[in-house]
This record gives sequence, structure tokens and C-alpha cells, in this order.
Amino acid sequence: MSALVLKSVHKAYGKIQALNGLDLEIPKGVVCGLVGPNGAGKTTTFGVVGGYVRADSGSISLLGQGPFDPAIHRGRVALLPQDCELNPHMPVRESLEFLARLQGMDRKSAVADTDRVLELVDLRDRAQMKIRQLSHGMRRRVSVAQAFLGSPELVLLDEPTAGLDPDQVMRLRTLFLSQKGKCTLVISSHVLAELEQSCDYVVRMEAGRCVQAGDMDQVTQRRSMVRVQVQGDVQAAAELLAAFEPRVQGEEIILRCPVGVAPETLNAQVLPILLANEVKLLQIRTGESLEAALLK
Amino acid sequence: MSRLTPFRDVLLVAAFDLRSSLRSWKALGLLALYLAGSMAASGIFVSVLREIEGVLADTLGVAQTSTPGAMTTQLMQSPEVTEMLGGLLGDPELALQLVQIPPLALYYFWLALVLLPVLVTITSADAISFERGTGAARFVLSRTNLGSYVWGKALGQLALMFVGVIAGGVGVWLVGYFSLASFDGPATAAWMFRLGLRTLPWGAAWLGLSLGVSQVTRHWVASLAAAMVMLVAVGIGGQVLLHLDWLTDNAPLVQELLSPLFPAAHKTDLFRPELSRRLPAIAMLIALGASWFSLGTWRLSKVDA
Repeated sequence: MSALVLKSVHKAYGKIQALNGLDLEIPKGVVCGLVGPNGAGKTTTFGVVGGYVRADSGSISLLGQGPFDPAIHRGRVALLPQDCELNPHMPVRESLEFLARLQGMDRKSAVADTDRVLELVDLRDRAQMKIRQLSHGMRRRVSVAQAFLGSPELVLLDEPTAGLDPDQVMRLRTLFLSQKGKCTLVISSHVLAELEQSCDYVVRMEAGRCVQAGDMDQVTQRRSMVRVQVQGDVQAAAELLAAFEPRVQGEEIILRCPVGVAPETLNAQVLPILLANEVKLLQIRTGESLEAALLK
Repeated sequence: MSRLTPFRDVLLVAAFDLRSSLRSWKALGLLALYLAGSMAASGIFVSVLREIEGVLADTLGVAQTSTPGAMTTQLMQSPEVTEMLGGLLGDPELALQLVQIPPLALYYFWLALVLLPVLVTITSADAISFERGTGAARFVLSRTNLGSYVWGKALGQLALMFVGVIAGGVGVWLVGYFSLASFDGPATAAWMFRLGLRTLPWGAAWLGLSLGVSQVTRHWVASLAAAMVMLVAVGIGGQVLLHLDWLTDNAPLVQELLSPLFPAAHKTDLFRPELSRRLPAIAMLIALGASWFSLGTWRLSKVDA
């Protein structure tokens, strides 16, 4: 079953067509990266999925139960809209407890769950501070924390790491990875390297449409390609691997995995040949970067 | 799946809204201003009493009292004052009933009716627009429906208004306690509380107007400006409809039909001692507030949150 299905969704802001017949299907249980240039319609997609932006036409189904409806989806679908902040006058703890209680939790469960999500984003020591007293990064992390209150089945995070420092980005990446298998996570971001590490499914949008969707392995060819970077004569090194039908691209030798052969098996065959011929290896990796895959 | 619990959600949103308002400098500043204004106005009231008593003492050829208020009760119940009040209210019977109320409590009630619309407009006009602007509303709307959210905000703001009314009452009472001779503290406090409750429907009407406007835009400055314009328009409109002689003479039906649609038409009835005679005014004021508020909600339900 799919966690999220959008069919022929249109949304216009005046003359600007933000979503132009968007068809999208995200399988259940994946960590999905939603990518695309500015104006591709990612944020609008989050809006129509979250119910706070009204689609002009088309159909939306979350967890197989129609468009977002708090009566059906509260506590099951969680959102982090872009550029949204919690009430600045309230302390972190009170804000999260309030949202947890609105999800249907009793006071005791709300307190316990608030502690849990604050731990997830490493902010327990700031629980008593007012939102306005936190730095931008901390406020963003509190907003991320609210999305993990309870046990949501579908979590949509729009630019969760925008404006965060590398350390905080790493912490959130760890959090997203820890959610694998627990829920369906949809993350929108411009930082493709970050999505490449966190996601196992990717959707690319352009001009309000989905132009590419698939497993991360498939898109980046992680399971079907090995790239070998050497120092010195690349052509000579490639000739040593002639049996594997290599292709030279810049300083890299690209090898396709034959059907049924895993990249690690191919590596085990290639590596002894290169070492025996004293080729200076700089790097061996599988597939290509998400950025390269999407820019092709 | 957790079922939607609208009544519980309204209470949760209201409680959170009240706590949040009481932590914002704007609301606290306004409450403090309202308290200070009430106390200052009461101080003026006491000074006027002192003047009147002084003039009365000179006329009667007796010594002036050092603290005012010694003659107030007798003064209030004198036929001249009753007649004057009857003329002002246009209702001699009501005047006869009002002079039985401690003068300071009556003054407090009148003052609250005058100040509440402004207080309510300034504190509430951005209650929803601000949260739409910052996106905070979206966190709530992903957990409950629009109705529970906006009615919760309305209840929270109503509670904030009542906090203001009580705070103002305490200030006025303290001025009376320290400045008036023969001040009946318990009786005045009891009357002030009863009259304070009567300000709620009046405030609710203006709150409905203010929160209705707050739902129309996501820019808090725009909503505050628009609410102030509406406050002035509805305030002046109500007075014009009630007191314009030209209308009374030339279009009495228009006056009769339109004036109930403005809060001003129901203000005097809130002074009436009998609940049965106050109820129509209370019902109309609440209905007016609910209508303006619901118009805003209807508009909000048609646009992106």
C-alpha cells in the first residue's frame, strides 16, 4: 500500500501554476527525498498534502484514507511546514505538551512523549526556555520534534535542515535514519548529499510535476555501478580492466555490474588486478551521487 | 486512530491561548494600561465627588469633610440626582433602580463598557492573524479542525478580557477603599463582580468583530488596523443610528431595523436590574459577536490556512 498518492493535482497562485497535474505515489515505509529546483512545487505539495493549502483539482490520499482530515489523520500524519514557527511566547515544553494533548494524549502521556522527542533533537536542557529565546537552529529542531510526537505513520518535513549548522544537520540525519522502518518519512531539501545519505526513495519535481521517482539505489545506480578513481594514467588502468567493459569519465573508470553480480563481488574481482599492477587507487565507490544522477 | 474531540480541543486551545497571552508583553502592557486607566479615571471620579460635596457643603453652610463620599449615598438617592440620571438615560424607572447601586460600582461598570471595546480590539485583533502569519496555526490545524481552533482562540480571548475586567475592578475598588469615606467595601465588591459579569456579552460582541477581522488576513498589522477601523465604524454607526434626529423624524423604520445590529443599541439594557429585561440585549450582543466571528471563519475556511 502507498503512504501517499496524488493524482492530477493542480494548484495555481494567480497566474502562477504551482502544481500542474502532479501525479505522485510514495510507498509505505520509505524515507523519501523530495527534490527539485526552486519553484518546482515542493512546498505547495506539502501544503496540499497537509491540508493547509487548498488544491484546485485532483485527488489526494494519505494512508489510503482520502485527503488530510484531522478527524482521520491526527496523530497519524505529522507535518513540518516550511518557515513555520511555534508560538514565540510559550516555553518549549508547554508548546509540545499542548500539541501532544491536541493529538489526543492525556496529560501524563503528553509529558512523557515531550521528554522523548526533546531527547530526539537533543533539546531537553532547553525545555523551559521560551521559543523566542532559542536560536534559529534550536527553534527549527523544536519544530522537527513536534512532528515526531506520538507515533505518526507518515511524517512530512519541508526543509528540516534549512539554516542549521553541520553538527545539527548530522544529528537530524541520525534521527531520520533511526525512523527507517518505523514510519514513512518525506523530506524536502535542496541539499542532495544529505538526502542521499538519509533516503531510500527519491522523487524529483519540476514545474509542478513529478519527473522522476524511484528507489535511491535505482536512481543513483548504487547496486549496478562501481566507480574507480585512480591517480596517474586512467586509460592504462582502464585497459587492465578491459574484461569488465570499462568506461572512462574524467579521472574515473566506470564499471557496470553484470546482471546478478553485486557491486561488492565486482569489487573483489577488480581490486586484485589493480593492486597487482600497482595502480594508485584514490577511491572506489558504488553508483553516482544523487546530484550527478539528477543533473544528467 | 484518535477520535476528534471538539469540545476538549476548544478548551485546550483556549487554555493555551490564555497562557500565551498572559506571557506576551503586549497583552500584559495593555492589561496594566487598563488597570492604570481605570484607577486614574476612578481618581477623577473621586475628585468630582469631592467638588460636588464641597459645593453642597458651602450651599448648606456646613463644614466640608476631609474625605469625599460621606454624603454620596444621600446625594445619589436625592430626587434631583435621580431626575438628572433619568434624563440622561431617557428612562426614569431605570434611574430609580440604578441609584440603589453603590456609585463607584456603577461608575466602574460604565467605565468598563466604554474602555472594553478598545481593549478587546487591541488585544485580540492579531490573535489569529499572527499565528497564521508565523505558521503556528498550521501546527494546531494538523491536529484539530478549524472550528475547534478558532472557537478555542475566541474562548481564550474572552477569558483574557475577563482577566482585564477583574483587574480593572480591583484597581477601582482600591481607589474607593483608600479615598472614599463611608465606603462599603463588601457591597461595592459584590456589585462590581455582578456588573463585571454583565460586561462579558458587551465585550463578546466587540471580540467577535475583532476576531472576525483577525481571520481575514495573515498580516497582524493589517488585521489590527482593519479591526480599529471596524471598531470606529461600528461604534460611530451605532451612535448615529440611535441619536440622529433626522433619522427619527424621517426614517424611523430604518432606525428601528438597523440600530439593533449595532452593540450601542443594547448598552442601556445591560444596566437593567431584572435579568428578564437584560436577556434580549445579552442574546443580541452575543449573536452579533458570533455573526461577525463566523463571517471571518467562513472566509478563512475558503482560503489557505
